[in-house]
Amino acid sequence: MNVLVVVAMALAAISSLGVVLSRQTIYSALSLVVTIAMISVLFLLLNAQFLFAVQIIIYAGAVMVLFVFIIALLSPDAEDRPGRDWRAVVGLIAVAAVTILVFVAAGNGVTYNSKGFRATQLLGSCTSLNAGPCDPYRTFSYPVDATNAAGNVQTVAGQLFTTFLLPFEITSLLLLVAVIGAVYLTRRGVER
Amino acid sequence: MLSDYAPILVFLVVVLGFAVGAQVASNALGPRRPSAAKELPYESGIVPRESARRRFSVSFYVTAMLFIIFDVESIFLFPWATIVRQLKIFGIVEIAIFIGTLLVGLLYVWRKGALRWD
Repeated sequence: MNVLVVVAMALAAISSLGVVLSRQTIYSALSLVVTIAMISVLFLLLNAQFLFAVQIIIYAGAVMVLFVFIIALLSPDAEDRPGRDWRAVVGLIAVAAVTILVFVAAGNGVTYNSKGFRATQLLGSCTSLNAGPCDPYRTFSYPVDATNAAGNVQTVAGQLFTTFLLPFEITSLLLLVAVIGAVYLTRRGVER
Repeated sequence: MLSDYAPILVFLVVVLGFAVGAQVASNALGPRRPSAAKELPYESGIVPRESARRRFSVSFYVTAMLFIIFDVESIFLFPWATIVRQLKIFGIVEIAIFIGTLLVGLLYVWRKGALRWD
């Protein structure tokens, strides 16, 4: 395994422990920033540059700002240290079970097809609007070299703005609903 | 592929080196004469009056929420910009619909006065 992957995973695990174990909620939030940054490094190492950018800009940027504001809004003081709780045991068992399941599944080859399926031909026809058959549902496995040759972000964009155009436009409606909801829920009684 | 990120690594090393170096140099070279006034939390030169751990106005929360929403909007513009030449007029139209929908949201926020700070 790559050294960088191991370092990033270890730092992600340590900082996520910091999220759970910090007594000050604000330190939990700061640990979460480190966790998110390390996960973004993992995305980068997996050759998913767009997800890397999303992870940094949306999660480490915007979502963390919201979290910090919520902390400032609700409980600025240090949290009381909870005693030993049976829920911690249940959580630990669940985490261990999921981890084992993931490793067993990956070990048995339940993963993305690393060979890719007709992706080389389709990358060209799907990123541009040129004529040609384009069946993206059969090309979810992109071989690394072909994707990099076509441009990684360009490949994502080519799918997003042609094949998945409707979900993309629906995203804007979802965001619109979120805008209205945010303003409505925090209104201050008086109608302006 | 990974070597493409060498400039970022250099940048990180320089940033960390500068941050750590400045702290170490300041501790090693600077004189230390602590006094009560110097131990106070720095608040732009004003004497702090109360604890910083107090509740914030909900207005901050609305602002943060709106920031996230328009941040999510802007993240879609990055992949769009990489292939806008290939998408031609089709790309302009679809991003116009996308931004137009969110512009309605912005107008709503504006009309409701959520951008006003009072």
